[in-house]
Amino acid sequence: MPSEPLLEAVDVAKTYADGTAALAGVTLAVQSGETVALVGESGSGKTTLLRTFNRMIEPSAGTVRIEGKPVMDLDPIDLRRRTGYVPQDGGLIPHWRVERNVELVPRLLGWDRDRRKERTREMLELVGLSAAQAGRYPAELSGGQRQRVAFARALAADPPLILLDEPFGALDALTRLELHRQFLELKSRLGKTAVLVTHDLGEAFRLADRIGVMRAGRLLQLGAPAELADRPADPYVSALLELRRG
Amino acid sequence: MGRIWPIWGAILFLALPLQAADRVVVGSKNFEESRLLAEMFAQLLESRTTLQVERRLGLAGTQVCFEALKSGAIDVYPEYTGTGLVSILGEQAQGGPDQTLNRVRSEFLRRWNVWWLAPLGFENSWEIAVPRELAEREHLETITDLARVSKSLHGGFGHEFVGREDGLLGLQKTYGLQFRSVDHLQQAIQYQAAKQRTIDALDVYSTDGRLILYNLKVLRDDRDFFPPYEAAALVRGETLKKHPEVGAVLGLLAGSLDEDAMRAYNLRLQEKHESEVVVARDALRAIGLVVKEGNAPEPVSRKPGVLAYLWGARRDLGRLTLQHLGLSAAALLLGALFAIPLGLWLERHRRWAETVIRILGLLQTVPSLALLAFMIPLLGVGALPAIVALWIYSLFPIVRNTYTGVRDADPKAVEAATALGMTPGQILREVRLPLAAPVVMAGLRTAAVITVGTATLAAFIGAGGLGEPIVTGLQLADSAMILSGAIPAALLALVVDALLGWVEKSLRPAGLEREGSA
Repeated sequence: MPSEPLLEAVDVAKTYADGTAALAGVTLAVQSGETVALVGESGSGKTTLLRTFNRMIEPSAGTVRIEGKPVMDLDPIDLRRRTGYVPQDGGLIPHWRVERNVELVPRLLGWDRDRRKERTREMLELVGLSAAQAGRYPAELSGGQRQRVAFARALAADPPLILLDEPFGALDALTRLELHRQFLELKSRLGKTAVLVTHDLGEAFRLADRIGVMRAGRLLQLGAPAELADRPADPYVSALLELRRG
Repeated sequence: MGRIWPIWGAILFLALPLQAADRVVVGSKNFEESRLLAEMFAQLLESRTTLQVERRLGLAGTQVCFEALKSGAIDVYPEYTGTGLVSILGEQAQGGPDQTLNRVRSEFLRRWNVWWLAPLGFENSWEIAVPRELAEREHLETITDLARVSKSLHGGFGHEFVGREDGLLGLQKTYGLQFRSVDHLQQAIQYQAAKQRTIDALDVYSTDGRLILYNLKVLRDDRDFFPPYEAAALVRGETLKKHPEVGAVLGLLAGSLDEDAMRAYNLRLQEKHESEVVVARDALRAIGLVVKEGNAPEPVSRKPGVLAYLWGARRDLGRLTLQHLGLSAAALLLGALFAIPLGLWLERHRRWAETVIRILGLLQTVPSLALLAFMIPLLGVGALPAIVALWIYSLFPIVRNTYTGVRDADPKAVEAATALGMTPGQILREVRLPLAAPVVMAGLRTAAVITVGTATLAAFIGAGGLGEPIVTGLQLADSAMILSGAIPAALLALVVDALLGWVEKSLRPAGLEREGSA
């Protein structure tokens, strides 16, 4: 019998006050330890869906559950502190040094100083940053380094689930490949559950265990990369795969 | 904060209406004759009573003076019966001097318990004057005579006179005057124009010293068109009750001055730039009410060049600069204490933001003199209303910059901070506010420059500061005196701006400097 999914969305819909439907009822389940990529063009609803998971957006209908508990029953602040988050540009707080950025969530959770210091050192080492870089300001780092700090920050409080919103989108090709390699390494070492939003199908194939293809607020197909390639469930999915091969 | 307290304390002290029992405050309007009469009142009271006399000379016009009197900010000031009737009571002028005096006396007593003492003996009314040479050639004695020849003459009148029913409009109807042409001129230019014979007739005040200087003849108002403007002391009833000697002593001046004497005194003030302190002393001597030597403050010489003047007045200017800084600092501090929290509140309640900021922006456009005048019925004269007015001006830049600075602070960082579980309060304190600090500071800096600049106008309501020599200098057409206030005021604004610019830079959070080059 399959274990209970870590993250579950049931008929999640989002309609804005002006009538536009960003999500038209999406159901999916993410198992513990797996990485699911959500792909689709901009406006497909993939980021909106991701943001319902940590209640940055409240769905108009449907339920999101984490570890079986509806997120609507959780305090949003608590929920977010227990969920990792990496945005496209790092979203580092510019007037805080790297170490202060990394220890953000542990500090919010009230960890004592020694424990925070230790954890920050550990995290920076994990993402391949030197102790010297811990004292720098974000503006003094390269784009790739900033993104690594964002990963370290997302992992610092050891959350079971990490939400990634186009985390490699703003990087140049070489840096992106280097970070992809590192992501896979972290994935095998830490076994975290992750939801990765990307518009890059190649990235999804490289990093994800399963891929969800979204279009116009719907999840067209969710499956392993090979499954998508062999049995596309929708003409849009096959067209997308054609494009990738072409 | 700690270092500001002494200044702040001093300001509060200055602003508090000092209700010392043995004190009387003499006020005046902002022109030479009013200041001279007030100075005479003050010197006389100083020499003949034991009261402590305070001078608040140069208040901006009738409304300001009268409100100050009603509110008790001043106890006495020189006023004209016609002004009382037309400007204060809002009635039509009718009848002769006695009728006018009786009318204002009874109404002022009934409405405000304000007393008109016995008139000083001269009128300073609107009159029509012509060059003496023209008057002699055409045998002009009265305005009726003027109407006879007006078709061939050029009139040159002040802007106010031209537009008023009790000015040129009514005059033309009453006398059938018809000039060949009428120019609208500034008062100072009118005299020059008459001298060059560009104009042949002009409106004047009957005691203006320049009538002598420019050799003009005042034509008799033979149909009593102009209301009588007899000068008299206007005193609060409460003051007279508490200190009856004020009425007795000022009563000594009844009927003691005439138009010729006043023209001569005004000439000394207007053209020879003598101090009203000296002229007042001479005037009292001439009447025989000799004032003890040394009682009045020593006159300041007014003739040297700007630099020498600045040097000569350095002690006064130092005091005025401190006063100026005190007014500005108090207004700015209060502004910051109110406007920064308001800006933060608006960021959390954004639907109010536009309305509130727009209202503050509108307040900003109220002319400063008008705003100062509005303050008087509420707060009297002196430092307090000035600080409140300056405070109002300081709000807009601070609120606007605080609101937009906090609202627009690095949206990506704010988004990430939210997604990682910082509370809105934590984000405000730890992220938005530090990032917005330079923008908030820039708003404070703008407010400071506005405040220091506008504080020069505080002198109009007797709050002192560097506007004092500017206001007095303007009335006396004494450019050295004007500059002695204007130059330090401008320097002060520059220094404050530079200083706050430095603070702004040092408040810029570390880590932001290199953003542009990263």
